[in-house]
This record gives sequence, structure tokens and C-alpha cells, in this order.
Amino acid sequence: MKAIVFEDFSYRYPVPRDLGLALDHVSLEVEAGEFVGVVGPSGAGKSTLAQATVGLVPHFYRGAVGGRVVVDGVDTLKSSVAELAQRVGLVFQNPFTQVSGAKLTVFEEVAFGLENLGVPRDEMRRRVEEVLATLGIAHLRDRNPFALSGGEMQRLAIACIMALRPRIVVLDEPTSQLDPTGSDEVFAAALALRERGVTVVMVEQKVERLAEHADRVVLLDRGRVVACGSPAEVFSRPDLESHGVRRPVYAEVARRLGVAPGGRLPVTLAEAVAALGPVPALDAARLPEAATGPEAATGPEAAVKALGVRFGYLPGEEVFRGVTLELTAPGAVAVVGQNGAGKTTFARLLNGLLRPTHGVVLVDGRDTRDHTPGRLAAKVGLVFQNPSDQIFKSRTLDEVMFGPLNLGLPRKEAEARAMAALERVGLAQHARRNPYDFGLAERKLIGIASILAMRTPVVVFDEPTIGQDHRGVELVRSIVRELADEGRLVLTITHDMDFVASTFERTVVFRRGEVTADGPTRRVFASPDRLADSFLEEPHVTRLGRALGHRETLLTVDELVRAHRVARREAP
Amino acid sequence: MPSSGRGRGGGRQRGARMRALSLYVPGSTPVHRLDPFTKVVYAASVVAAGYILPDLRAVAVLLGLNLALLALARVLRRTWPVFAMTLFILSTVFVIQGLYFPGNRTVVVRVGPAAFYREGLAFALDITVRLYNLLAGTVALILTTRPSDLIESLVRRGLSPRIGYVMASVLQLIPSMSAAAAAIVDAQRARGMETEGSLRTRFRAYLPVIGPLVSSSLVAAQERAMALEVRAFGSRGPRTFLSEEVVPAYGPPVRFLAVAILLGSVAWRLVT
Amino acid sequence: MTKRPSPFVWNFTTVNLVLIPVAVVINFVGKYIAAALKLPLWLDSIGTVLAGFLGGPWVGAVSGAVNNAIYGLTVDPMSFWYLITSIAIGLVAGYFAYTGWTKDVVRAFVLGLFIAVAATVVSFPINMRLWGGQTGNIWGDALFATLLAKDTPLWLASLLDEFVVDLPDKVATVLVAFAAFRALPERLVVLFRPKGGIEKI
Repeated sequence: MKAIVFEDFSYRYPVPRDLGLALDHVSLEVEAGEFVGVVGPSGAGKSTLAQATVGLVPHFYRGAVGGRVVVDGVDTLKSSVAELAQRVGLVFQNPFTQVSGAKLTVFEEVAFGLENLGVPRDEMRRRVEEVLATLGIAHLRDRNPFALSGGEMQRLAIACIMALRPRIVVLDEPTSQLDPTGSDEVFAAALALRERGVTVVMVEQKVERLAEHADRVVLLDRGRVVACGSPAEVFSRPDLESHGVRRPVYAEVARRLGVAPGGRLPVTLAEAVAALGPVPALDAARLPEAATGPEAATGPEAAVKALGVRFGYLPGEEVFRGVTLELTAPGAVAVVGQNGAGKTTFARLLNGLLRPTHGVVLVDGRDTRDHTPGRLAAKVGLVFQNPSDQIFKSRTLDEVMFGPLNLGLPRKEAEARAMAALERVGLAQHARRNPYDFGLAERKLIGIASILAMRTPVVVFDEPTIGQDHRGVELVRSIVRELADEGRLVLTITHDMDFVASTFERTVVFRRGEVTADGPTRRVFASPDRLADSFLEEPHVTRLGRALGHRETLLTVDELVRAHRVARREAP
Repeated sequence: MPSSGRGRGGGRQRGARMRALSLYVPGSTPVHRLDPFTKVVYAASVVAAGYILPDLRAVAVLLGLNLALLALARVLRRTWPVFAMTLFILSTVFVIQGLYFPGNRTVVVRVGPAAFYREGLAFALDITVRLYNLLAGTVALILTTRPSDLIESLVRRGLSPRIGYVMASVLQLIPSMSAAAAAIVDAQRARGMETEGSLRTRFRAYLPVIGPLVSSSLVAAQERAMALEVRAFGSRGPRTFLSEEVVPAYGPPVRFLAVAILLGSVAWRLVT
Repeated sequence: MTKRPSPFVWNFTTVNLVLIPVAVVINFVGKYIAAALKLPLWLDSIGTVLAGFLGGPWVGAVSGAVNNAIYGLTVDPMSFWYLITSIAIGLVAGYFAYTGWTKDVVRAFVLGLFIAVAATVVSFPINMRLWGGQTGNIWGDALFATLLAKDTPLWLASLLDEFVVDLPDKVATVLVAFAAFRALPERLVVLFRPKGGIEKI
């Protein structure tokens, strides 16, 4: 029996009325035991597809339906979500909102669904023990669900679903809000399910991962299935980027070098190494070091200076035990490190939301202790990771004007700046819409616009690429570059190492409240061992370059392609 | 305004607030071991009896019984702060009623131009004794019962499990939404909002904080509702409980006694 | 045009149930923020009013009840005994929201008056029984004392004491709730107010 069958399925949300079909005549079949990846740009209908598989679409939202979805032999329209829950489970993006909130321990939380279904007590305990072991979270059994890390919480969410013993599990971008460690944990969990014969459907932006593990990949755009086939087949499509999906780095390098054995690009690291072959061991032309770095600083006065900064939230538990860092405008600086390493705390020290217990933070020569954060906001713009922490206006334009008005600008000027900022993030034509009419990706752009509109000399981004699709990441990259070129200092906290490698000339690495590396990005990424020490991953490009035998640290696809061509040409 | 420090990642701070939130004092005294439902019956009965009994001296006896229970549960020290919260307002009750109670006839004492009357003071005393009985009865339940146990106990006895879910999840959401509110304050201050200064400035800061909290928490509510649905929350069949409830041998007699007190006070009221 | 359904339709869907604890916590946090900003108001029923706006009178009423039950369990045991006041606030907010009183800010202001009246009418008998008629608010109790000194009946003094305290607070509460409600996208609002079933394409 097929695990999932979409038969000419269409769906429209009840509001807004003028919105088109979220899913447009989708036909799709998934075999039992398959691991299927789903890719597509934001707004393509990936989440709608995931929710249609478990019956939330249409039962939860209502709206209009055509065609049908049959899951494990059951028509979703004719069954309730609770009944379907024993056949198919869904794991959502946000680990936080999946915790029921009614239970005090992980063990009780997993049992919650079983209580709802009236499973006898002994059976319940047996099943909970079993899934905790399968997902490797048995040691967390007595912890409060809200006190877990993102990766742990997400595995708990999977455990809660698995306790109901569904034969099919759908995961909707389960790693998008996690750090690399958390992502690894969740991918391992998904693979453990597949090992046990569970059919897995995974919506995911991390294409390299899908390329490695998925049996098939579905490409979705504007509610339609554009392609469905093996990872090599789908990721080899020439029109992939026009559908808003990034090609795996390995495939992209091969494409640029014109290597496609049998018409298929290599999509994994191993395939790429096999197809491209190792380069002969020779010293290729040295690549230029990044132009600006701390040594090459030109500005007269550092824009931001932290001198011997010590800080702790609780007495006796210091996050920073003496951090000294000078950051000069203009420049784009990446701040990387594991969750809890102190990156976000550092950002809040810069705009005075937090004040050092010892040492000083100087912004444009001003001591942050002498000014309120409201005053410092004119100097340092901090874009929060979660746009929901700030949005409160019913019109996007008003939301973006809030900052400029707080700076004391006249309404006209504030509006002009807000419009310019919205233009920059590509939302100017939607200035009158409600920010919450958009998806998370656009709301994050609104958050960015609301800081850009304040035109601060220092801009700090906290995880701007999380939740963005390929186009979104490219937009953020161009904004970072532009701000730096305009002469500002841009600091960006991120876990996305490929983004760091291709965007920032300088990188600062935090580990447990200490700066363990600081310098030109190329030098920071030169030692894979040192990165691992700080719990960081190597960028995919850099890893491929090294695997191919290149001596230099290569940071972008362009560099790798160029170096590879040179090496081939000069080979004896 | 306090800063969250690190927004939603602030596990440690959240933990601290979580502990501070419940009035429950852990323990293993006979009062603690009593099942929550029995304690609810007891508290409801003595509080109701406190307002039904015609004779204030009987209420005083009841108050004494409650205080003895609190002593047995070793939570007397935690009871005083609850009583103290009402001290100020009760003292104003004595002053205002002593001076102006409509039934005032007999002057007890004069302080300068003001005359305090017996009737008003007696009325204030009546209010005070009954109020402390109410507080002591309620506190005997609250200080000795884990809120989540109380809710589960009520669900076992017919409270809708859906309402039970609602009550239990409030307790878990308070710390996490407080952390979210602190992050919002930070995000708005980062956009130049001031939280100190004139009353006008402070009023203007209210909406930018509560607004995002409302929107984001309702969006989260939608997501949580979906996550609950896929865990069969909407299931209509009979449900089961992970843990068993233990009712000690002295539970039923306590319930019987509580109901007897209530019925006795109703009877007393009817004959007088 | 379809006929407007009765405001008292019983719609405890999962999403409305999940709304209730969120509403209660908004009450908590709203009060906490008001205190932190040193505002001279409580603003502790914004969530209850919003629950009424979104889910209707019953959802509002249950939010009010759960609010005081939980507040009684965790912070102030006296709160139990004002459960019925919160229920009234939720009921009134829900009823009038479903009959069109959240269309504009003027109506929202009037709705604030209604809620202040409802809260007063329900609270003052409880104040009479528990506190001899006072509210514990300095300004309200000063009025109470003045009125008693002028031989006003106890019930009337108590009622006015409660009303002067409730009036500014409830009007401000409803206006804040209204502003937050207006900023919500329609997509979200319709989830709490089910109307119509699943259509066919």
C-alpha cells in the first residue's frame, strides 16, 4: 500500500479571500518506508502540504478543498485529526510551541497523547520508555520540557509523535530554528525513524543534507509540484534556482566546472570528490587575503570598543570574564559560536541593554553606562532574531516608522526613511498591509527594515538568515554588503558558515564567553580542528576544497571553481 | 524595567521565576499527603461555614482549627505574609466603620473630634475574623498542594480534561511568556523606546510591549493548538492517567468531617 | 447575507481552549508591565477582554474564571473570591464584541464603560461581605469614608467606591485590548471565530 497519495489535491485558505490556491492540483505518491525531502521557496506551499498530510488542512483552518489525500489507506477528509494521529504524525518548525505546556516532565509530556487516546497505564509507560530510548533523550526524562535546548525540545516533539506509533512522520523544517548541534541531533533522530521502517517526509532548506539522505526530493513552487525524483535528478535541473531553491554546494561547483557524469550532477561530498577528482599536489596561486581586517583598519576611531568587559546575569556566574574587542567602521564582521557562547549577550552589551559589571563598552566614543538604550539606539541598531518581539502595528509602514519617530524625527522624514528601508527589503508595495499577513521570512525583513530606517552607524543582526529561503539569504547578503560599503559597521551573529564564508571579511569566534579567534575570515576557517574546538562546522565549500586536495582555504564557490581550473591547467 | 538578558534562551532565569510563582511549599506532613480533592472539599466547607455561622465565636473556633492544620503542615511561617497583605486594608476597615458605620449608636472612645462607636468596631471585628478564616482555609489547601496535582485530581473527578489542560498550561506559560515580554522590552528599547521618565512617556511604552506579546502569543497559540490536535487532543474517547492517585486512609473521614461542619453551620443558621 | 450567529454559540474548539491560558498569562504579564512602568492602573484583565473579543462570551468568561482560580492558587488567595467579577468582564466583552462594539475606538470606549459598570455591580456585594464595603484602593476608600460620613447608605458608598476605582482602569484596559485586537491579522482572527464549513473547489 502507498503511504501517502495526493490525488489532484487543491486547497485555498479561508482568508484573505483574494489569495489564490495554496496547493494547486497536487498529485504525489509516497511509498511506505521512503525518505522523501520537500524543497521550495517560502510561500511555495510546503507547510500546507505537510499539514494536509495530517488532516490539519482542511479540518483546522476550513477553507476550500478539491481532490483528496489518502494516508495509510484513509481519506483525510473523512477522518478527524485525532484519528489520523495514530497513522501519521507531524513535527513543526518551532520546538517551543509544540510543548503542550500542561506537563512538568519530559516523561509526562510524551505520555500526554497516550492519555488522550486512553491507552492503559502499563502500555503507556512501556511506549514512553521505548521512544525516549529510540530518540536518545532517556536521560532527560525528569527535566521540565521548557528547560531543554532547542535540539532536545525538537527531539521531544518527535518522541511525543512517535509514542502514538504512526507509520508515517512528516517533519516541517524541524531544524530551521536550531543551531548546528541541534540540527545534527534532529537529523540523526529522523534517520533513526527511517531505520525502524517509518515513512519520513521532511521539508528542509538544508539541501546538502537532503541530497545525502533522501530517497526522493519533491520540488514545490507556487503550490505546484514542479519536479519529483532522485536528489541527483532534481538538483541537476537547470531551472532549480528560478524556482527559488539553492543547489547543494557540491552540485553547484560541479555544474560550474561542467562535470555531470551521465547528465547528473554529483550532489554529495563523496560524489563530488569522485567526479571532480583530487587536484595534483601543487601550490596553486595564492588567493588574496581579505582586504580589511583588524590589521588593515583605516578608520580614525573604532566604532565599537569593548575593553576588559566582564558580565554575568547572576552573581558568581560570569558570561564574560574580560573580553576586549575593537570593531572599526566600515566593515562586515561575523560573530559565530555555539548557542550559549555569549554572542547575543555581547550584542546587548553594545547597545546598552546590558551593562558590563567591569570594564567599559564604548560606542562612537560614548560609554554605554552613561546613556539609556533608547539614546544609544541612534548609534547602534540591533535587529532581533525573532521579529515577533517587536511587531505591534497593524500597518507595516507604521511599524517601520516606530524607530525613526522615537529618534525624534518629524513624521514626514520618518515616513520617507521607512519607505526607503522597505524598498531596500523589497516590501515597499506592501507598506499598508498588516505585518502578520506575511510569513516569518517577510516579517524578519520588516524587522530589518525597521532598524535600517533608523540609519545607525552600527548595525547588528542576530541570525538574519534563519527562516529565509535562498532568495532571502541573498537579499540579506546584499544588504550587509551595501551597509558596509556605505561606511557602516555591520555585525552579524549567525550559525550559517557558508553565509559567513561568502559575506564577511572578518570573523570573531566566541566560545563559552571568550573570544577564541578573531581575524580575517579565511584565517579563522583555515583550521578545521580549531573550528571543531569551538563547536563550529566548516563551510561546505571549504570542506569540498580540502577534500579535493586544495591547500588554500577556499571560501566561495567562485574561488573553488577558479582554484580548481588553475590546478587542473597547471597539472603536469 | 528589568532586562531579559538573553530572551528566550534564558533557561536559568526562567527557572528562578518558575519557582517563585507557586505558593506551594513541598513537604510530607499528613496534610501534604492528603489527596487534593479532600482538601478542596475541606477548604470550601470551612470557608462557606465561616460566612454561614451566626456566632462569631464559632467562626473563631474554626479559624483556630485551620491554624492548627497549618501548624501541622509546618507552613505557618508562610501563612503570615498572606495575612499581612490584608493588614493595612483591615486597619482602615476598623477606622472607617468605627467612625461611620450606619448602625453606630454607642461611643466607645473619642480621639479629638472623632468618635469611635461600638457597633462599627464590632462590625469590623466580624469582617476580620471571617476573612482570616477564609484566608486560613484557602491557604491550607494552596500551601500544601502542588497546583498540577490539584488540577489532575479535579479532572479525575469529572472536571473536563480540556479545562484541566487550560489550567495546567497557564502555570507553565507564565514563566515563558514573562521571558518573551522581557525580550520585547529589549527589542523596543533597541528601537529607541524609553521606559523611564514622565507618566506620559511611561504610558506610551505600554502598547509597544503588550502589542507584540498579544500578537506573538496568539500566533504561538495557533501553532500549539495544531500541535495538540496531532497528539489526539481532540479525541472524544475515554482517557487514562499516567499516574495513580493515592488517597490516604484518613481522607474519607476528613471529607465527612468537613461536610458535617458545613451542614452543622447551615442547621445552626436555620434554627437561629 | 448570512444571518449573524448568536453571540452565545458554544465554541470551545482546540484553538479557543489554547487561547484561554494565553489570555490568562496576558493578564498576568499586562499587570506586571504596568507595575514595572509604574502606571497608576492595574491593567490586569486585558487578556480576558481579548479572549471575549476573539472567542465570544463563553470563552471570555472561562478565561476570567481560570484567571482568578490560578491567581488564587499562585499569588493571592483572595483572588478566588472575585472569580465572578472576572467572569462578568469576559462575558460582557465577548457579548458586545460579537454584536459589533469593536468596530471603532469610540465604541470601544463605550464598551469600556459597560465593562466598568458590570465589574462594579458584581464586585461591590463581594466587597460588602468580605471587607465591609471597601476596595483597598486609597482614593476609592477615601470616597467611601467621605460618603459614609455624610450618611450615605453602606451599599451605595461601597458601589461608588468600586466604580471610581474600576472606571479608569477598565476603560484603559478595553482600549489597550482594542488596539492589540485591531493589529491582529484577519487570518488569525477567523480561526477563533468559526463560521462556515469546508467548501468544495
